[in-house]
Amino acid sequence: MTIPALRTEALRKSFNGVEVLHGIDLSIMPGETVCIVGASGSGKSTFLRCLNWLSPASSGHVYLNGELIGVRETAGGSVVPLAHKQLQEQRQRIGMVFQSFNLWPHRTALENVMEGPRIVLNQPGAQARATAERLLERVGLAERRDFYPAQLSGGQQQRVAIARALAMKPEVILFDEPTSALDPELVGEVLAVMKELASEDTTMVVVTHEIGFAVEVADRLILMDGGQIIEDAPPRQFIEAPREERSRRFLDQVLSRGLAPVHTIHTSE
Amino acid sequence: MSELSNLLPALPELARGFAITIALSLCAMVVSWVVGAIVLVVRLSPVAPLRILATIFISFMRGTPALVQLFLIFFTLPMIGIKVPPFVAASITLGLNSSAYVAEILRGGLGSLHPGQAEAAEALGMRSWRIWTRVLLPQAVRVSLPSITNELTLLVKTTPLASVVAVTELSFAGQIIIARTFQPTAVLLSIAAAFLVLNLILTSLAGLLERRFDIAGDRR
Amino acid sequence: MNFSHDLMTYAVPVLTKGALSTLKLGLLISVASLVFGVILSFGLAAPNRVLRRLSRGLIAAMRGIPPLILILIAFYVLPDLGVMLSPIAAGCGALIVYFSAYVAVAVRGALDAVPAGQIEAALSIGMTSRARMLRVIVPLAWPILLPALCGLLIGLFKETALLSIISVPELTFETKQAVARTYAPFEIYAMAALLYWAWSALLETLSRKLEAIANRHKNPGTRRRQGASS
Ligand SMILES: Nc1ncnc2c1ncn2[C@@H]1O[C@H](COP(=O)(O)OP(=O)(O)OP(=O)(O)O)[C@@H](O)[C@H]1O
Ligand SMILES: [Mg+2]
Repeated sequence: MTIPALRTEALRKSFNGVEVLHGIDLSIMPGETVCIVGASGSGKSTFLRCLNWLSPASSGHVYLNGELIGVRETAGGSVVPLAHKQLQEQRQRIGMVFQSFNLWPHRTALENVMEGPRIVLNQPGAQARATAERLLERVGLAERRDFYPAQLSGGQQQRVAIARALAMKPEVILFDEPTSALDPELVGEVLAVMKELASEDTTMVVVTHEIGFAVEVADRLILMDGGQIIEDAPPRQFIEAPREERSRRFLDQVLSRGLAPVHTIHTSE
Repeated sequence: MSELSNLLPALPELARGFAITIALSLCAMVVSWVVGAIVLVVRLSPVAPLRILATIFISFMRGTPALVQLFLIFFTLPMIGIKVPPFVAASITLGLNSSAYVAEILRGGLGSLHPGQAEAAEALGMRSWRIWTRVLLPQAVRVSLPSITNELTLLVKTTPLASVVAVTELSFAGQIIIARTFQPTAVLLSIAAAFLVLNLILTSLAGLLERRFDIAGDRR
Repeated sequence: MNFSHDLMTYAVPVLTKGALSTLKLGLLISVASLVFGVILSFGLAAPNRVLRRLSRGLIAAMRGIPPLILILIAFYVLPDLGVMLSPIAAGCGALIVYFSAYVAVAVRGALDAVPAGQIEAALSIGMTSRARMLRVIVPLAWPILLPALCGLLIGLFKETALLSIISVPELTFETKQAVARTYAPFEIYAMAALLYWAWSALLETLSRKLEAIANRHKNPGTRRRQGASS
């Protein structure tokens, strides 16, 4: 049996005594693309941020390829926070792409992508540069490498951000609504890159409102509501025969808006 | 503690000094706001020589120490035949000094109301007096209230300079008492406390005003 | 203007000496205020609550008390407590504490203005805290800090004039001496004012140049024609 690339066990998270994640168990196998959908405030971002310990879980565990994230077990059996250095090493293995891109504005596209290999992985400059150039080419931005983020469109910025995450050769990549901040006509170019990554068996966890993309690309579609996982099924099955009443209601709402994003994928590029 | 009992007879003197400090602050404040508003309008006027004059005034007032400005005004006005009492000279100097900052703060406030500061300045320069006083200045004041409050506390903190031209404001009253009693510690610490309280009251009043205008709500 | 022979031969050298002294004192106070201000800004965000409160209290006091009073306190009160300082040391010490508070507020404000997302991006690729500071936080805080800091430094040089009140021989003090000798207050005070003004203008120009450099990435040159936006 293979070990899950990412696994959570009874994951709970509270803010100021208010619990927003109520014990989440989830396994994501290597090469899987898992899309998470759900209403605003259902805890999707919080869950994602617990996975790379940007926001430490209140209780429960996260395992990356079998290794505990953010904490370690002492000989006495109690759980203590990991030293910064080890946590930083673990975060190198988990990529993250943000809704608002968060590219560093004082660095060019190329420098943004090089930063990780160069500064975190201590690669020689030439090697980091070659990696970055290759990745920018892969997201279709080779000729924009010397542009600053302010000179790039939202879609281009997000593609640079994906290249930046890829540059660390992560074992998993987390996407938090990567297209929500984009103008509609720019959504397709980002989804196209993500679709390609999925087809190359990159392990991805994608929080998204693009249900069309999710249906087309995801291996599993997950509905979160009120800090819990309501439904977890292959997309076709999720859409055609959801087990839960809440999933049906969610689908009714979303499908009434149509599956437009699928078309944008096909028409772009 | 013996110092404190020695200080008791001097209390009325200090209280009087404090009153003069407050009066001086108020007078200088009025000068700074009136002159500041005028300088702003001139600074944005369509007439180039006027604009340059205002720019030079602002640059000079912000580029030289208030203390030197005070000496300059206080010692040279009599030479050209103008006799001014020290209190008036101090009010005018400190007010003029602050007016340059007020003008720049208000200009920043106006800039934030209009897209493109340079174009706004051109357009604004041609507005009539009524639009200035009814529309533009009140709006500029409203958005720049926090900076104006800050400038006001800085103004209050320049008032001890008046002691060099023998205005018996708080710090000069204190120095007179120190010369008589040789007990600087209690006197100076009381003065520091008085200024601190005055400025704290000022900032909390301004905070109330800001909340009234809901400025924080606008800004974020 | 009637520049008498006496005025030129006496006042000019005296004012030059005073100006150099002001320059030296101002630089000393600037450097010390920057160092202590940065330290104090960390006090403002210290994990220890007592340290945080102390830093905040010190800053509130410095914002409320006139610098002249601080100088007088350093000059008159410290000896009372058994600390004997020369006028220069007392005066500079007071101004250093005063400006450190303002520097600390400016530094804290600039650091806090760095968007959380920028730091999260650094965290998410596993940057060490040192790399986060040097590669992300400082470069992004710097353009915000620079104008505030330059304004403070210009103000600082002007405030050194207060040192004349405790007879520190800087420009304003020497100016007063020269006026007493020559009875030409307008000419001499005007000369002093021009010296201060010139120095402020120089600093102002310098600060603009630095700001332009710090903000380069926001207005990258016309070299790259496509996609340019502000
Ligand atoms: N830092 C925080 N402090 C306090 N409460 C928080 C914090 N972050 C999230 N929450 C709360 O946790 C709940 C889940 O928020 P979360 O951002 O995870 O939702 P989401 O599903 O990502 O929503 P959206 O679709 O709007 O992004 C919300 O009720 C939110 O108010
Ligand atoms: Mg979210």
